[in-house]
Amino acid sequence: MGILDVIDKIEDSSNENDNNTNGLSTGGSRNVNINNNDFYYSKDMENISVRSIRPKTFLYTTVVKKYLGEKAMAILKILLSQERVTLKMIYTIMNNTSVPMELSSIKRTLVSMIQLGIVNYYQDELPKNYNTKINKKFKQKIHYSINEEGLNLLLYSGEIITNVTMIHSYMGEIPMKIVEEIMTNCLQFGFLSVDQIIMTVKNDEDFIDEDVIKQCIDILLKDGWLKRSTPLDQCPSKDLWSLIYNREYVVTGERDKTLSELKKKHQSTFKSKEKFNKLCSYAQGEICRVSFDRYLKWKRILHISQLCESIHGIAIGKILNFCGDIVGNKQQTLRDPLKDCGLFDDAAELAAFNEEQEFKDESTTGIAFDSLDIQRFIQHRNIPIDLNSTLVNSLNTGNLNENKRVKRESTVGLDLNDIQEENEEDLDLDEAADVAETVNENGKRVLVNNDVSIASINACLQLLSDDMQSIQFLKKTSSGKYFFPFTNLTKILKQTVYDGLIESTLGVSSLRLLRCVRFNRLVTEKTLCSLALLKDKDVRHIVTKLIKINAVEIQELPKANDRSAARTVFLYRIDERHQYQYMDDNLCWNMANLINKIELLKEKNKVLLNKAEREDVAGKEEELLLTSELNQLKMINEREMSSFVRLNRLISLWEVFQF
Amino acid sequence: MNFLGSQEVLANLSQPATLLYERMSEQGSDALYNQQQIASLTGQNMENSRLSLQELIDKKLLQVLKQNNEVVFKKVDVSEASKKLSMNKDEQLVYSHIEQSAREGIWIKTIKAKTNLHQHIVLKCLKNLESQRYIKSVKSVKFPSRKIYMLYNLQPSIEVTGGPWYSDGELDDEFISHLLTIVWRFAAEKTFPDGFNNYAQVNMKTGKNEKIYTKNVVNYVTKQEILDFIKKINISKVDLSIPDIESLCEVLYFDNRLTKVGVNAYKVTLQSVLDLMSDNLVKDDKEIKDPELEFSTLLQDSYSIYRSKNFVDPSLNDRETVYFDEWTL
Repeated sequence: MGILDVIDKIEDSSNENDNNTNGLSTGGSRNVNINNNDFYYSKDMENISVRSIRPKTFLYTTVVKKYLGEKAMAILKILLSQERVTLKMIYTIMNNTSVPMELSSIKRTLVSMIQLGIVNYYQDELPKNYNTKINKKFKQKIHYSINEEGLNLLLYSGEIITNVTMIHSYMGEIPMKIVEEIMTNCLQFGFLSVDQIIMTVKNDEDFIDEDVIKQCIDILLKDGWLKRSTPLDQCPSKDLWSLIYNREYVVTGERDKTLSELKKKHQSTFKSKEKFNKLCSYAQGEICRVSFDRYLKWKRILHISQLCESIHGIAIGKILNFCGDIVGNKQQTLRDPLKDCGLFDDAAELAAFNEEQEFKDESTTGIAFDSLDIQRFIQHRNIPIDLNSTLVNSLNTGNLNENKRVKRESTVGLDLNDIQEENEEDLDLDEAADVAETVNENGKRVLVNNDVSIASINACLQLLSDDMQSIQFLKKTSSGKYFFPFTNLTKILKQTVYDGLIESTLGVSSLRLLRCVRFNRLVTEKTLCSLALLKDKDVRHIVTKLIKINAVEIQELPKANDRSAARTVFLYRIDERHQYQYMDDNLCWNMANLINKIELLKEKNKVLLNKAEREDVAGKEEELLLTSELNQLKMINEREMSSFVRLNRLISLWEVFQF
Repeated sequence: MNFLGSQEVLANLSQPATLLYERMSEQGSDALYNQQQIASLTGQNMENSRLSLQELIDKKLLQVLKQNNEVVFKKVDVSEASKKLSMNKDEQLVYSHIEQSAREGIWIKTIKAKTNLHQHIVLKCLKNLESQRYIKSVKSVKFPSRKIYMLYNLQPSIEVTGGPWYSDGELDDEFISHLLTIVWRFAAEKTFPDGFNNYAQVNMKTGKNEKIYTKNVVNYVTKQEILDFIKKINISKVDLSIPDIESLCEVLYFDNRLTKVGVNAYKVTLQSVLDLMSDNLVKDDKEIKDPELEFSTLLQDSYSIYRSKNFVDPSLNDRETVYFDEWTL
């Protein structure tokens, strides 16, 4: 079924119960299996100058090499550099390299890559008035391009499995295991139908009830961790957009022939956007895949909570994190496909989009919450959190002036507090009787939960939504509920992480100068010295470092007509886009380099590692391996572990610039 | 060189000139007079009053100025006049330019250009004037390499001295960092219930023992409060003003050690409190972990750049180190 048909289908709003998933449902069971034995790609990756040209290429190729092997990497390289290619082109380019590849091999690899969602394809549609007799030569070509989402899923795969499992720990041990299994399988196979997921999970653990698995899948689907496949999973958004737009353009032209070109474009853009959005959210039945967008949403909440923790303290950070959990998947998507389709080359469109996003932060249904929701969340999940002893309501003035007291919270709040506590105690005791856990633990929990009162939660929310603070984490809706101003918070998040990176790598004085320039927008060196209270020699030295990494830029202000340098004033300023781009690339390169280093390490010790993994050796290493070999093995493990920790940290910094 | 006392100067004046000078003295020292006013002061015709004027100008008791394209006259003190009379012509010229520059001071090269005198002569004049304590040389913060002169009895302007942050034309690092710490500590005492020791007992993972103020508490400091505090503890030799305090607070804000509350008030950041005691933080005490609550540990266990800012120095045998600048090398 072509995409055009899907569009028609949406237009006609016909019932969608047919077999609209045919080509894919069978593909879902394919395991990814690329045979790399007969192929060894040239080692030019070790040449630093080559891999530093575009860090993203370096990163993705290393990741793909690690997970899928060298063949996939070779194809990915071509796709990354050419962006949109046909099979024939891949074959031709491949055969011009020193390591040619057979057509069938390329095809096999491509299929696996499509299955994992790394590669998208687009088949040329037949023209509407296509006539086989007149135009015999028209051939529907298939164009392949990269799908970054799939690559990111590969990069994040381990993290996703662990974290999503942990997020669902409140459901109990068995569901947690099932969730882990489901996520692992979905990541491993790419696209799977619900039945196939059940099948794969059941195969591993025989004793699990099918209904439990189904429930778990439903929960994952409902919360957005798994998403049903949409046309965009196979078709690149650029192609889809141009298809819809071109069609809409023709239709608009036919409908009203007197329309001016400008109006025609405007109208068709407007309509295409509507249709595009509809198509993007059009779920094609049973096929599921892991949603990277949902993971990023969760990560964004985590980053915001961390930022909050660094400003308001640990307890408030936790409360904000609960708020984020309550909002969950309802927040605006971070990966709007409209962003990739080239529409936002027009600055006005981009501004309008951003404005709309900001509006949607508040207006989307289900995104607002209040203190009751939070209390319910804490009680429901039995989270031990003690707010009453954390929040201090009067100024601690020591011995000097004790009688100076600041206004306490309203007495109404306190009454409410007391009532709530009594209720909770009853509730918890009942629950305790039902669940019948150990007395000790229950007793503890009941005590702890007493402390979460509506009044104290409200106090936290007030602090978070205070507009006098440097960052307003929450805002109030007109109905008195709270919501996250995500668009704004994302900007602040990037800035603070950037500042943190500058401070920890270049020192506090660099941070001082950077923030000084940012705050004052355009400054000369002299003003910078006097504002930052630093010696001009130091300032010049630091600014040079900052300029080197694009953190600060020089603005020329000519005073004479001939722009003579002697009379020109040079000012410093900041361009956030350039700053973040540099940092993004820098972190990306470092990530890739780390993965590359691990791979090199393993390759160097290939013989030993193979030996340790042999069936007869595994488990009895201490008996069968020499002491030196054991030491070597330990060293490899340690280095690998430390690399993974570092990689994890880098990823968590890098992703902020992807929001 | 003949030195004349102030009495001597007045005694040598003619009668009408003395009268005119006395009349002018009665009007105050800052008054300016045009020719008509002078005539009315003397009560004589223009011709005669011009003679008195010339006499006063010769004795340096009057200064000729130009205002709105009109020549006006200003009375000069007798002591000042006697000072000028004791100088030679070149010295007088140099002195007048230095006098004109007032509190900003004048660069030696500018004097040379304005007076059209030879370098040797200018230097000689300056040396003479300096030895008689008529002028002094000052160091400018803006142009540290320039030799700048101004009248001996004048205080250099803030632009020349650079304000309270400079001593002898050099930025006083120690003084500034001292004051910054004091301002920060003063604010910290107010921001958190236990001041900058607020997090000494807190478990940084679970938040046990943490104490923070609610929104209703006025836990910030204003510039005036900081200024009062600094004056009270009497730490600064220089007189500080509100703008000085503001610039200190701004620097702390740029360092991310203070944060702004509203327009005029400041609080310390939690980060700065933690940075101060990064080594003494409470280590994770081993608690029994509830497997069902693992989701709540995700936040506290995940890596945060705000929490771990002080990176460990890379050792040479650690081959997996990530370098910030490796990409561009």
